[in-house]
Amino acid sequence: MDGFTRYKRLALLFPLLFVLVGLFLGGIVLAVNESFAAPRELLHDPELRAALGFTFWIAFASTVISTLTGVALALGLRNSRSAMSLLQIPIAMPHLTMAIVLLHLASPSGLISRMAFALGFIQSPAQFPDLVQDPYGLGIILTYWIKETPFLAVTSLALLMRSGRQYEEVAQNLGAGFWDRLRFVTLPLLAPAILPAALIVFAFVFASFDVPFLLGRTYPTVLSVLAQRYFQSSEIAGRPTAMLVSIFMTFISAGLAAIYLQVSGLLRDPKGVVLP
Amino acid sequence: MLLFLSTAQGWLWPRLLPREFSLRAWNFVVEQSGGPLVTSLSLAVTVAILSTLISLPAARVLALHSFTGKRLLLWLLFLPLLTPPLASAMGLHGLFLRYGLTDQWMGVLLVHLIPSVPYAALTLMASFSKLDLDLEAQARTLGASKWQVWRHVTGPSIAPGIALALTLSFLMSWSQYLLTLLIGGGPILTLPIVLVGFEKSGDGAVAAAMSLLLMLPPTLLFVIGNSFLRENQSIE
Repeated sequence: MDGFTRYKRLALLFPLLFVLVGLFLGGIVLAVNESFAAPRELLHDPELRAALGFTFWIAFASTVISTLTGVALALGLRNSRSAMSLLQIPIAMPHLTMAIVLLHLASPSGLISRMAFALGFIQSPAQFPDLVQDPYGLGIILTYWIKETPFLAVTSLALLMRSGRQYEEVAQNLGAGFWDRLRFVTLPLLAPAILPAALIVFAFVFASFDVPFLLGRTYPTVLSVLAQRYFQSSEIAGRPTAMLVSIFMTFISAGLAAIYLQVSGLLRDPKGVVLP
Repeated sequence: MLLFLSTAQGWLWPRLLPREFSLRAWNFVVEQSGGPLVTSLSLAVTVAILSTLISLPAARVLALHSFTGKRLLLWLLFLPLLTPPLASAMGLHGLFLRYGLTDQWMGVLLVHLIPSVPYAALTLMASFSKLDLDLEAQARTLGASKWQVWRHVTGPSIAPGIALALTLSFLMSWSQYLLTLLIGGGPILTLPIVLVGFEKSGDGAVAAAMSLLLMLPPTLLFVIGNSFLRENQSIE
């Protein structure tokens, strides 16, 4: 251990503290300060309530389906050597690119609609179901599904590769069938890694902006898009309202972060961090 | 698919494939995206280098020392990863406005550091925690100077961590849209900002061409990273 004095440690930490305390926390404090000017009626604003519900719905639905398919994909690909690196490709793609691809795949004049026509399912673009800019955020959920499934699959695969098959083989020898093995051995084995990863996905989708901004409609929209819209509006109350909405989001995310840090035990051992 | 989209000419519903191809969008992108490309690249490269330099000394202290307030600091390090930088950026906007940092490259650079630095710091922490301190001590005993210890012992052993920290913080800045929009306003045009602009105004072909451009660095970094990993494995 190098014998650093307290002051030397502080000096070495200072640049990091400047970013974390100065920019990140400082910004939040300034935003809280400005948010006090927001009108009280805002709390009863139907648009805000709709956005809150919509944001939770999108985050919840995306997390659940991505987790299910991610785990299933990992179980299906556990014997494949190249799966791990192939799955990394969609993880590295910007969300923006993914949203644009989906926009042109799933819109009424998109590629899927054209295929449906070629196969004789529909006769005009208007008959194609609303998947993009739809009231339920299906296009948004679809994008996150494609984007986050590989992340959860990689997390599960990493664990499956590490823990090996011994437990499953023991269960098999003892006469457990496929479903029993899955339910009592494999899934409990995966849970400690999957739950924190799913929580990360939830927190990420909850806070994200790009995908709903491109694929969502004006109403209902997610909290981040609403905050940005208030921020750039020309009304006097717009700015403080934007601050209030984003502070509100920050509190919810910080709560999720607290749960995540507890569940994953990262504060004790910050080396095993996994991120989308 | 993006390739089709960016070169299609009059690709009307319900044709499965474009009837004609044209390089209109690509010509346009080549002519017009020079500015945004330079802005995006200069921001991302600077963010990557700065984030890594900021994190290097701190990561060493965090990985190898215990001190009061360490848990709190780790908490603070994880928080920006899971909380949206939205509130911070909006709050800083007022301050930046007063010091003329809004609509400036410099201001955008500062807010890009908020999501990038934690990634760099955590990656480097992982590297430092695997560092063999005895090796450093031995080098010093043998008369190596501070710089020589860093050059021949510490540096090489954390090099993969540095590469990963640079990569992650580069990508964080490269794909950033919202923070650039909030602080950069209109004048700071990065690739994502211009791309969304074209998509929203209905020019899908140009947006598709730019999306491909946006995908290029992550794909390249992925290929390089992968071949690097394979090399390392073959040594083992």
